[in-house]
Amino acid sequence: MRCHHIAVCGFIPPDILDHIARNGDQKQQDRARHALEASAEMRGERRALGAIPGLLAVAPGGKRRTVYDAKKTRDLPGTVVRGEGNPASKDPAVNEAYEGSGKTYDFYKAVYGRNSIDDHGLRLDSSVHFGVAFSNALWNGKQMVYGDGDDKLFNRFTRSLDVIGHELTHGVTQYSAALPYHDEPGALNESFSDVFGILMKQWTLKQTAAKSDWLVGEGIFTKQVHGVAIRSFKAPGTAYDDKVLGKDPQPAHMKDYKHIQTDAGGVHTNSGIPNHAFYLLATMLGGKAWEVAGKIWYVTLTQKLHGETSFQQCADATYKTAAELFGAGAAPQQAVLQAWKGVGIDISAALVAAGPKLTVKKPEVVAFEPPGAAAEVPNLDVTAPRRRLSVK
Amino acid sequence: MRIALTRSGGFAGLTLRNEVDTAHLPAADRHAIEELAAAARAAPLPRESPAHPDSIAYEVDIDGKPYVLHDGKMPAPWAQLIDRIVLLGTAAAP
Repeated sequence: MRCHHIAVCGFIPPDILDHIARNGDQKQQDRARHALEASAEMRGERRALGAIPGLLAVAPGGKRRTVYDAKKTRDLPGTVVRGEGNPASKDPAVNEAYEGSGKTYDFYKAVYGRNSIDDHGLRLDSSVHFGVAFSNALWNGKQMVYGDGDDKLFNRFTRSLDVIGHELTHGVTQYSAALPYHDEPGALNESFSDVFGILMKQWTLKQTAAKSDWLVGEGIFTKQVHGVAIRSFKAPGTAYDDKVLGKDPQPAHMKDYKHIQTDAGGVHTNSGIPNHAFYLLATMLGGKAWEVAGKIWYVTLTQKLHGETSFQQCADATYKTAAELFGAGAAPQQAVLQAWKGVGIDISAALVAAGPKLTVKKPEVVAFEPPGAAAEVPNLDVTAPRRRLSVK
Repeated sequence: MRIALTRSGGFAGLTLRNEVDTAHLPAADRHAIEELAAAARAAPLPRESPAHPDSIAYEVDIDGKPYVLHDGKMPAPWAQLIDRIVLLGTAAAP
């Protein structure tokens, strides 16, 4: 449990918390709700918050989805239209937000053992039909928000499963690494959202790394836009090239890092670099990307990073995490080093020197031992013949 | 009244621009937009704070005076003005 929960639930009586949960500002409300839920759990009560408007009476700690309709206003959250366990709505946006947030919850729970956004069963709130012709989806620090699109360039944003996984992951990042939303840490924040968005899609569709389209936001652009998706992990910079929108500006390599003022320093642009590193890692390793590559990224995000973080620091952290999870010098760690090298980021020399000697001859070539085998041979010799795994 | 709206960021990370010269609008639109703009300029701007992930930044230039707003922290007249301009205008590449 986080310290503010302890502090709050230890010293503020539940009736005052209840008042804050109803009337405080957003942050206060969240904390009060957390504390109420935590204290209710400790007392063995089924639910402390059932009486608070907008909160549905579902046992704390599980999957608790609520979809709201903002009815083309910018007022959040809007009217409750579907709660946990309720039958499907006639409105596809409602059902997509409900199903997508449910699949994202299931993905995090089944694959990484995470209980919702905060790992404490935080409610999954989504508002659809936000604004007029609102061509966007966002995480406002508390809930997911989806627009209908303008029908000219953009369809509704709930259409794409990975968009939902992306938004919910912003919540995960907020409660873990808390990467500030600007420049390199912001681009990492974006990249982690893209990574777990695509992994959730792959997991749902039971796709291996080789089978995935590695596209973010496929189906969001209307047919009038010349493009396949909003971003591409496989080939950043190629997702669209349109007369109105221009060309996908994402770089795939540090040499092409874009120093721009808009978009919080190009957080959605430069995320192409860590995105592509993840793609390289996942396809080098092959198989189910959420199992090894995803696990390294998940542990890095939730346990190794906090606050201002550069690409270099993130790369180094994934390298260390790979060793902790799968063995120093083992295939995953070698692949992590290769993957970052592929986007122009060399793992810090001191880190590499501190670990077992690794063989890095050709950055573009994937060559490593099967998991387990290399861990028993920490000092790999450059000249030794090695088995090569084919990239499917 | 000339209003230039630049939307940047958002999930797609795109920059889109719209420009409106109310002098060229039908009287009803001109009246509505000029009223909204006046109400918006009278509304206090939210204190600057870190943007929400994937929120769009809106730079609204009204007769040469710039205002910056973000999704999720927008007084109602600003939201109405921005939505109106988006609906009116044609998206143009930066």
